[in-house]
Amino acid sequence: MNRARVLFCLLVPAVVLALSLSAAGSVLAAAATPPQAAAKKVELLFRQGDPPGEVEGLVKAVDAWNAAHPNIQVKFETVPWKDAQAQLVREIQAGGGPDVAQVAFVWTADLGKSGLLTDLVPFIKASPPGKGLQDFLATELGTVGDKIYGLPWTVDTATMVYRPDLLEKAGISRFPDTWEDLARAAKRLTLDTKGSGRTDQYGFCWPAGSGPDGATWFLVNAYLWSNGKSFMKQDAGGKWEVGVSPQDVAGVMRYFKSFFTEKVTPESLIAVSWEGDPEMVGSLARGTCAITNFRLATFRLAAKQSPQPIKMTLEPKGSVKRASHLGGRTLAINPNTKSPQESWEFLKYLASSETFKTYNQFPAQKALLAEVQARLPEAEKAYAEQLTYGTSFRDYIFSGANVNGMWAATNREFGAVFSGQKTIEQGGADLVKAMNALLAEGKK
Amino acid sequence: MGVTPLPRLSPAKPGSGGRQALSGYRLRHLIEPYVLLLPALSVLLVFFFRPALFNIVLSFQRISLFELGRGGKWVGLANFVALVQDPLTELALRNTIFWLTAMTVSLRIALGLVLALLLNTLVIRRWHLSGLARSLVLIPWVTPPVVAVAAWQWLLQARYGAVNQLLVETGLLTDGIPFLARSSTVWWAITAIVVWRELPFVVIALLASLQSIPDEIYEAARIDGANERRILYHVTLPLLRPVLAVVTLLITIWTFNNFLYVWLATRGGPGVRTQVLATQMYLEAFVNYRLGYGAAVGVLMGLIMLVFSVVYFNTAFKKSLGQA
Repeated sequence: MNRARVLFCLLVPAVVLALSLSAAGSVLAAAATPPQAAAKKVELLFRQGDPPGEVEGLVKAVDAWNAAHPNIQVKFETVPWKDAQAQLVREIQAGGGPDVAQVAFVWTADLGKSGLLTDLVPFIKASPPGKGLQDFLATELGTVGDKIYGLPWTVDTATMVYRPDLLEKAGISRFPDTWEDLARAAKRLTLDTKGSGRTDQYGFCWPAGSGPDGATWFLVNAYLWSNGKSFMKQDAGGKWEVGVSPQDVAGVMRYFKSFFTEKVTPESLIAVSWEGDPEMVGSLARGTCAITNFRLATFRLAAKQSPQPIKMTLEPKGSVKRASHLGGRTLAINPNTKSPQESWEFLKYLASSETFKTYNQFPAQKALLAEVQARLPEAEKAYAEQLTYGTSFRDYIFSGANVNGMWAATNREFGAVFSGQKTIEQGGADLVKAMNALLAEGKK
Repeated sequence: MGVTPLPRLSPAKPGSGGRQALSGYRLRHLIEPYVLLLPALSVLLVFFFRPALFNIVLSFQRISLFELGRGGKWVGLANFVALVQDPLTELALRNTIFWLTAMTVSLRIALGLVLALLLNTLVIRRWHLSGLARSLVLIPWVTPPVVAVAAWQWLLQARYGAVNQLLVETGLLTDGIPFLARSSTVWWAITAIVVWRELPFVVIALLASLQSIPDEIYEAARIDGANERRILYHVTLPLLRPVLAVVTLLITIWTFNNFLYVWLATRGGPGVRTQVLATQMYLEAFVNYRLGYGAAVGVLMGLIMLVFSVVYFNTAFKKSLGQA
């Protein structure tokens, strides 16, 4: 008997047996299942990007949904922000990906234009979220033409954060109001408190790393916008152009570099990109920094660690206004989802007041925002006020330039200037050149 | 017991089963090696050759991360021209060749050789410390790279790091040095991380080779009046040369396209001081969304690696063929 025949004789009975067993199993399972539970059960995958410590309330909200919706079960997944966009793009183009995804404000339009997100307009018309679309903030960021690719979910910004006791000891009775005041106050707060001959308290700290996800980008934009400038602007004819000259950028670089040259900011922060770095978060607690710049989640982490109270306050004012970035997240539906209607229902739930009872983020809805702001402790009240000064990256998104690329170029050139690799003039010129290249690339 | 008899063949007749059986047997023997190689070849084809080919195709296109499904625009050699003209490419290439590869490989070979010789000394063997010593040497290698970099970042921290605290307490410095933030020290810091984490492989490879050198050769050298220094230069090192060559080439290939250490430690900063080809490729493809341009960087890296690989194969297989 040859090999092929042996294989055939073994394989066929095995296949027949396997099929019989699975059929029998299905019959038994169906018989054991009560009639109402045999209704279609949907499983959705929801993906978000914040670290576990910041989403305990969100997990509770999702658990509550699962308890109330046995036929629509949601699996919660986290992919860190730094990998989130690339992974989402790859998966959706490969036919996979989560059903509902938390997406950054600045990504939504690009993803939508590329056909990687579902148009939500039909869903919004059939079953409006919250108090209606008009109640949502920054909807234009996820809108391309007459399509809406993401529902604004949360908004965030950054504020100045400081140790009131250290300012008091230095004789500073109120927090500096302008950028120049900040520089002067930070100098007064830079001290050798132990008399060891070395500075052990720095006036102002921020993660000044050169990485593409560093925080210098946010401070630089706050400075520019507050002084009436912006990296991108529209000319009188509606054409987008780079809104700053090399001299403008050099001025900003000169301002922030002065913190390093005058040793008001520790040089080691040139190697730190992330505000959640232990050196940053613990700096206020240890008293090694008197003033920093944090998002709300990082402030809360720092407040837990600090034996002394810390407080949030507004970003400094420029010559024109006070400003900070208005960041945020949208919720989007994957075009590959097999359950678009259920995904929409879950999305609406995430945007509802029920979720924000436990999820300690700021909702991107005016009605809900007022509720959340009312619950804020005293030390965080400034955050709510700072949101009113928030400026979104709308102009950058609509200019067509790659916002991630602008972010990376800004941190890179500022980092090169901080570390002495480039002069201020060189850095300013190179950054404007990079912005022009990104704008040109976006127009192609 | 005895030799297995060959299958009985019927007398050959035109179109008969006998000739067919013989040609069937020969055909099976002919194709059998390829059939056995098929699973491994399939894996190589699917997971290595196809992606590499896809990368080459991408490098001739202007395509963003969002256009993978739709395809990009064919631009011929434009990405390569832009790559050559980009001043960052020259910097990244210099950093990759000199700092990331040449410096760390030289240090690893030198230190690896010294450690291997130390671990092979009579003292270590007499006190039965070989096992313990080998285990200690392996500790960096079993530490995940992410953990290793995080630990080193803390060690090198200017204010709280153990390295700076030691240097300040002993009076060698008056103030801590932010090793990873300063242009003049950042590459030394990354070199320390890479060497610490990757040294064990060199030590273990060289130690294994040292331990395979017969003791009789050393005895003969001593009888001939050679001192330890002469034995090292005229006996040990020449015998280690083949392994040294192969290890050097292997770690050169592995280090040249390394992304992890630089990215985790500095993200290519401060500024662009530690930008290497691998980080440039990542930034162009996944931050700037210029997938085609990033692929071109990958092709450049692949071409350079091809040269190293040819040298490696010639060295490794020429040696083994020569020994055969």
